[in-house]
Amino acid sequence: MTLLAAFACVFFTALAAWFVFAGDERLPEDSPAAARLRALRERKQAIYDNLRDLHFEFLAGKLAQPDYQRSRQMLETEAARVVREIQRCGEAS
Amino acid sequence: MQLFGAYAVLLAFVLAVYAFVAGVVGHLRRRRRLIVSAERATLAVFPALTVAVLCLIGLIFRNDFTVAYIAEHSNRALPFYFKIAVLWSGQEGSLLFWSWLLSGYAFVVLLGGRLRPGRAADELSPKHAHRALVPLASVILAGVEVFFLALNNFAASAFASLPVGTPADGNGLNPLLQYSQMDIHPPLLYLGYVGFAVPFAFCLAALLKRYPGDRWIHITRRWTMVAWLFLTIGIVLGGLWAYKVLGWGGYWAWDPVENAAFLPWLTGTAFLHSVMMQEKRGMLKIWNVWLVFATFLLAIFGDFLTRSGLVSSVHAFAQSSIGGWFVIFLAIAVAVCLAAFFKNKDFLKSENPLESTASREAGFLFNNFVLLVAAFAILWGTLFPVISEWVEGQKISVGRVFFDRINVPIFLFLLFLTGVGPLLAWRRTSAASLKRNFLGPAILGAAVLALCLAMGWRDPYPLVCFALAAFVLAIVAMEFYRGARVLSRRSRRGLALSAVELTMRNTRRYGGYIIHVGIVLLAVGIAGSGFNQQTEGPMPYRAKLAVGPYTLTSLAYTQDDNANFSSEALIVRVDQGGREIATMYPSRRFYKASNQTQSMVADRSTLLSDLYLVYAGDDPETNQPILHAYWNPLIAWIWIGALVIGFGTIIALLPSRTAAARRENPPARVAETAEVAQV
Repeated sequence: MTLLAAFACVFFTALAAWFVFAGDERLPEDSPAAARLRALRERKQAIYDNLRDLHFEFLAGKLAQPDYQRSRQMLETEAARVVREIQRCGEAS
Repeated sequence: MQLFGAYAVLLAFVLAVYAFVAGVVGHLRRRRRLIVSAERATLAVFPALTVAVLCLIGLIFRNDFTVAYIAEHSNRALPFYFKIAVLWSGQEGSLLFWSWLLSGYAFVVLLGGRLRPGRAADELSPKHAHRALVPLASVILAGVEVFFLALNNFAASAFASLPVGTPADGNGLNPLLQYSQMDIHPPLLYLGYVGFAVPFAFCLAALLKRYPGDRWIHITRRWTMVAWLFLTIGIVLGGLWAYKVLGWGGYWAWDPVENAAFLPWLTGTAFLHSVMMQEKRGMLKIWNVWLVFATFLLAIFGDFLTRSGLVSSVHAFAQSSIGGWFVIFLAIAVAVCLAAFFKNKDFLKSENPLESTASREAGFLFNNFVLLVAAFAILWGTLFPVISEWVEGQKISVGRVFFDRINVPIFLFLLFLTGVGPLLAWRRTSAASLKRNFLGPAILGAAVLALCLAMGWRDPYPLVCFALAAFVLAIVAMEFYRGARVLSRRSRRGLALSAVELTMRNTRRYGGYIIHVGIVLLAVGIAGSGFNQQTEGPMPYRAKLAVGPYTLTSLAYTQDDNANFSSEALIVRVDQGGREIATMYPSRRFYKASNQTQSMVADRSTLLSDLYLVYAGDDPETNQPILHAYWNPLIAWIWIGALVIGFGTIIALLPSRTAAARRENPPARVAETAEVAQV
């Protein structure tokens, strides 16, 4: 029984070592410029989501017209700024 | 099997140490092969520990009492469905179980982060960020695993043999643990505690990597929600266990171990709210990072409190020497968090200021502030005996009165914020919007308050709670109705179908509202305790006892015996309004292996109230059986509320249809870009 257990221990140690060292995989690597561009695109998407939510809340009757207009204008200004920055980054890269 | 189990735990430890060391070196020196092998070593810890856990379960079912842990916590007559609970009923087994769950989380995280060969993830999808952060997050998880596996191997081995001889039978499972809830409650609670290591790992990895953008916070949020769900259900099941088992008529006693589970729940809840400010407006980044750190550290601290014997509790393990290990690990973890934070503080700069106190941002800030005040008060009260012993040389405990007095007003205010938050607009809310949104729910809340007063109820806390419950439910109902109405107009479908469509379009928001409904139901159940009644008395044959609307009559006395325990029970007839409605059997069991006696509560639960009977044994002077009877209104709503919270959290974890559609439809994004660029 002990011999069997010892054999199993050796077998599983070898299996674990093979599993750990045999694998290879490419890891995602971003240049700083690409990472910056990606972050800006994420921000743009978040602002668009905010605009959609805002519009839906307005349609649902949660927001008064002036609140909606003011928030929408702020978000659009922010979106335009981010889009301009994306274009700049895109041209630079 | 014992030798092989011990070997598997040692192999897991070696793998975790390799994963941690190779991962750290690989990241510092940018060696890709080292990083990949570290990841694979972290993956391999899980199968190794699965083998170890299976070995221990096998030994438990084989009644192998040469293993000290099994001799201490199991016995031959223990029913098979409780034998599985032996795994987590003692210090050593539960630590192994903890390590196994942690390795299981790491396994899922690593598998989830693997990309299909030849395919790159959409760079805006969470999968891309997930894959980018997984190599470092897995090193951090391996670091946590190293600590717990060191305990498993060198401080509290579940496979250690008895020093001398093999007993014919074991000491048996603690009678307090021989309940069905004990097969579910500890695993869920542990899944919650352990799960907070994952958001911690991603958060710390993002901070150390200075990962740009906010995708990492989405990942952190989702994993926090998973752990939070398990912890919530685990805590409530713990309350259900205390209610059904401990026999004092209540479910929450502000016991140190209960508080230890509640602390990370509070900070985790605070994070799940404040994270929205970072995702929507790029605010509170430092705050969020520290909430994630604090939640993880409090989870480890809770484990330390439960296992070290620092505080005394019915839920704690026996006093042990492993407290020192936890103190060292906590000190290292705090030092790592501080170092990572101060080195990368500029990475966490807020993108927007708070524009108005009448805004959703301010609502979330209040919510966070109140949750943290509650957490601090509970931490203070929990540690007060320890602190007073250090300072005064004398242990002074603060009791239930302290916790109730501090926390009840805090939680009522939180209930109020639960309603207010969703109705405030981001950035700024005008008086007109406030009036439009609040008037209806406020009137309903006031009407409920007036109704309660008219019914002669005067206890202020339940009154306020019921009024706030009506206020919050009205707000949630209004949110669903308004949204469904918009969709219904567009699609010409009925309101009910539109409400389902609405929920699936924005699972996070509407799942959150369902969670709020669950919180309200839970609060109503807790508020019901303001009307509790209890009585006790001798119950010889035909004796009567009245509690709430019920009259109890003692009918007979019965005894039973089996291999595991002998028992004696009272047979009690229950009448309401002169009509017999039930027969109940409160009993006491004497467990033979452990020589311990345990009361078995008889509970008749309805949506309106519980009748809860405890047979407290015989009066030593008169030899007459003593019955404790409790009438607990509304308590069932606590358990229903927890189910609703669980359902809401699962909904919130599902991907929203709109988000999925957006990801699959990039041309729409391009069109939007062009449109906004023209603004």
